[in-house]
Amino acid sequence: MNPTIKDVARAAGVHYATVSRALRGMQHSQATRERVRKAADRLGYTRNPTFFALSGRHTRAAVSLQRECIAMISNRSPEEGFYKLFPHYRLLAKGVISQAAVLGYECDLLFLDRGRHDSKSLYRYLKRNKIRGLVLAALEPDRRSLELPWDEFCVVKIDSQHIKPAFTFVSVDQFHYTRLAFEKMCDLGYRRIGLVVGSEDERATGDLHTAAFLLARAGTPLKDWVNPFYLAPGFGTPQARKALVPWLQQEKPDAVISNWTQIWQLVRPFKGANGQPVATAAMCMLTHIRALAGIVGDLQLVGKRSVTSLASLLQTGQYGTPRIKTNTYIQGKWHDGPSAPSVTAGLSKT
Amino acid sequence: MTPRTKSAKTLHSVTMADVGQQAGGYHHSTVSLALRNHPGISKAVRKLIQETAKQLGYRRDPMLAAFNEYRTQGQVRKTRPVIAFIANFPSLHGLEASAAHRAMLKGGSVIARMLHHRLEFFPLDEEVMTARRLDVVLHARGVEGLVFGGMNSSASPLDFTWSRYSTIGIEGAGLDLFGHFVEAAFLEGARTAIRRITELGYRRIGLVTIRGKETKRSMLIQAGVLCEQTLLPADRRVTPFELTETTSESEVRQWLCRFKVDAVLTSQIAWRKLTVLAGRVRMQTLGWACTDVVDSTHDVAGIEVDYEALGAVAVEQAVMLMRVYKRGLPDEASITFVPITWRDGSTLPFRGL
Repeated sequence: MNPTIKDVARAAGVHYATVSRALRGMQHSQATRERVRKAADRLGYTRNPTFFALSGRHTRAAVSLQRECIAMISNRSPEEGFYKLFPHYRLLAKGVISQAAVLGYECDLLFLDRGRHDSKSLYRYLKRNKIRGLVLAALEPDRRSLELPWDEFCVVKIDSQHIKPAFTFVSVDQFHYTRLAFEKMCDLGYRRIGLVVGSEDERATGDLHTAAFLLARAGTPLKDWVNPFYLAPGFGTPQARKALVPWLQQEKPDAVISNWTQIWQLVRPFKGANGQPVATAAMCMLTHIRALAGIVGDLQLVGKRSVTSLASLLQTGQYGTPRIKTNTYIQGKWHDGPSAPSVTAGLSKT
Repeated sequence: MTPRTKSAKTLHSVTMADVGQQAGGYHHSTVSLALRNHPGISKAVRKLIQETAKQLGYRRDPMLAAFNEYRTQGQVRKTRPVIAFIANFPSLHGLEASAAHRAMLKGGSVIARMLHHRLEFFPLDEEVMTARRLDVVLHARGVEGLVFGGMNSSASPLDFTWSRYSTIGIEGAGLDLFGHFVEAAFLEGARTAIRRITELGYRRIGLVTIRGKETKRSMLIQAGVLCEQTLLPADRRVTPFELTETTSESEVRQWLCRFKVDAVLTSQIAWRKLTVLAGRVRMQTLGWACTDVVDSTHDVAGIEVDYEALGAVAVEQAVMLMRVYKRGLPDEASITFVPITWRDGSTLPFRGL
C-alpha cells in the first residue's frame, strides 16, 4: 500500500494536518517544512491525484466560482509611463494576460510606485485576494523595490536580476542575439565587427553579450579582431559620442553590433577599415525599425513564457525558491535593413 | 427587502449547449473543445465560441468538473498520457549503461508522475528503429509529448511529423532544430571552473576541445573561458587548443610549452587523447578539471551536471506545452538553463599561492 500522510506524520513526529499544510508550502517554519518534506521523500509519499483534484475543487467551489488569480507586478505605474513611454512593458503585459487566460487564470496588473502600492500594501492586497502566483515584470533596480515573505508565493522573474532570491527567470536571449548579429554581419561581408553595449546591461545579464561576442570573434582571423566598447552607466548621446569617437578611430570597425538603437546615427559618419561608412545592427528592437538591420525580440512571448513557468510552479506547489532554479531565454529574429547593406557583391568585383 | 435577483439569475446557469446554440448552432462537444483551445477546431470558430461564452457569462461548473476529473482519472483512463523519452540507444539496457541518461530518465519520470503523465523510453537507433518508423509507432500509441535526451550528432535526419508533437530537446547535439531546449548552464559553469582553478593556485589554464564535437555545450564552455580570460593579464591568457584526428605529439607539447600551461579544462575523452599524445608523466604534472564528471571516478575534479534536473525540467516543459495544445516547432526558439555545480578532486590538488 502507498504511504499516506499519516505515515509521514508519524515519521516526522507531527500531526497529519501539519504534513498536509507543510507539503503544500503553507505556513510553518522552514525547519518543519524541511523535516516533513524529507520524511515524505524517504517514505516515497506521493499524493493521490484523484483525491487531490476533488479536494482542490471542493475548497475552490466554496469561494464561489472564482478562478485562481495571478499578478503581474511592475515598479513603474501608468502615471510614470508604463504604457506610454516604455512599449516593452505593454508587450510583456499583453503576453502575460493572454497566456493567463489560456491557462485558466485571472490576471491582475499591480503597480509598485508612488501613489500606488508599496511592499506592505501589496502584500496585504495579495493575501486578501488569495493571489499565490507572481510575475515580476522587468522591475527597474533604481525604482521602488519589493520585499515580500517570498516563501508564500510562486514567483517568476522577467529580468529583475537585482531581486536576490533565486527564482525561475525568463528573458530575451542576449547571447543568441549577439551570435546571430555577428554571424549575419559576417555573411553580409563585414570583416571587422565591433560590439557596443551598456556596462550596466553586462552587469545585469552576467556578460552575455561579451561572452557571445568573444566566442564569435574567436572564429575569425586575429587581424580582424575588434575590442568591445562599454557605454558608461547613465550615458546620453553627447557623452556616448565623445567616448565612442576615439574607439572608432583606434579600432576601425567595419560594422558595429549594439543593443542601443541610436548608435546608428552616431557611427554613420565614420569610415571603417574597408573604406565604407560603418554599418550597424541593432540587437534590441521591439518591432522592426525600417532604417535598421538587426534583431527583433518578441516580448509578448517572454510574457507568455513567464506565465507558463508560473503555472508549472503553482501546479507542483513550488513556493519560494524552486527545486531547480532555471533561466529561460527566448530567441529573436534577424531582419536586413539599410543600416547594414551587403558588401559581398562589391568585394567579389575587386 | 433585499432583492434576490442575483441568485435568481444564476438559477439557470449558462451551459455549453446554450453557448453552442447562441454561436450559431454548434454541438456542445465543439464548444467544449473550442473553450479548451483545441487545434482540431478552426481558429475562427474557436474565437467565435470563446467570445459567445464570454458574452453569455459561461463558467465551468466546479462540481461537475471535479466529477469529470474523478471519472476520467479514476475509471475510464487508467493509464496516464505517455511522454516519449527518445535517445540513441538500441535498448533500455543500453541506456542504463550511461549514467547521464539514466539520471535524465529518472528525474523526468518523477516529475511526469507528479503531473499525471508517464515518461517512457523509446529507442532511436540506426539498426533497431529509424526516425520514420518511430514516428509511426508514436502516432499509433497516441503519444503527443517528446523529450529528446542528449542525442548523438551522427544520428540520421530526424524526420518526425513535428506538427503532431510537443517537443523539448535536452542538450542539443545533432538537433539543430528550431525548438525548445533544456541545457546545463555551461557558460556560468566554465566561468566558475576557471575561478576555482585559479583559487587553487593555477596560473595558466588551457581549454582543450575536440574538432567535430562542437555542441551547444562546447560552445558555451568556450564562451565562458574567453569571457573569464578578459579579466586576466595578457600573459595569463591561454589560447584554446583544438584536438583533431591528425594532432601530433609535438603540437601538444608546443602548446603546453608556449603558454606554460599548468592546468587543463577538458572532457574525459580529450584528456585521454592528450595523455596518449604527450605522455602520462608529462600530463601528471598538470592539473585537470573535467568538463563533465558524470562518468568519471570520484577523485576527478570538475563540473558536475545535474542530469536529473535536466530531465525534470524538460518533462515539465513538455507537459505545459501539451496542456495548451502547442504542437509543432515553435515560431521562436527558447533555451532553458539548469544550474551546474563544481566538485574538487585529486586531479586538481591545491598548488598554493
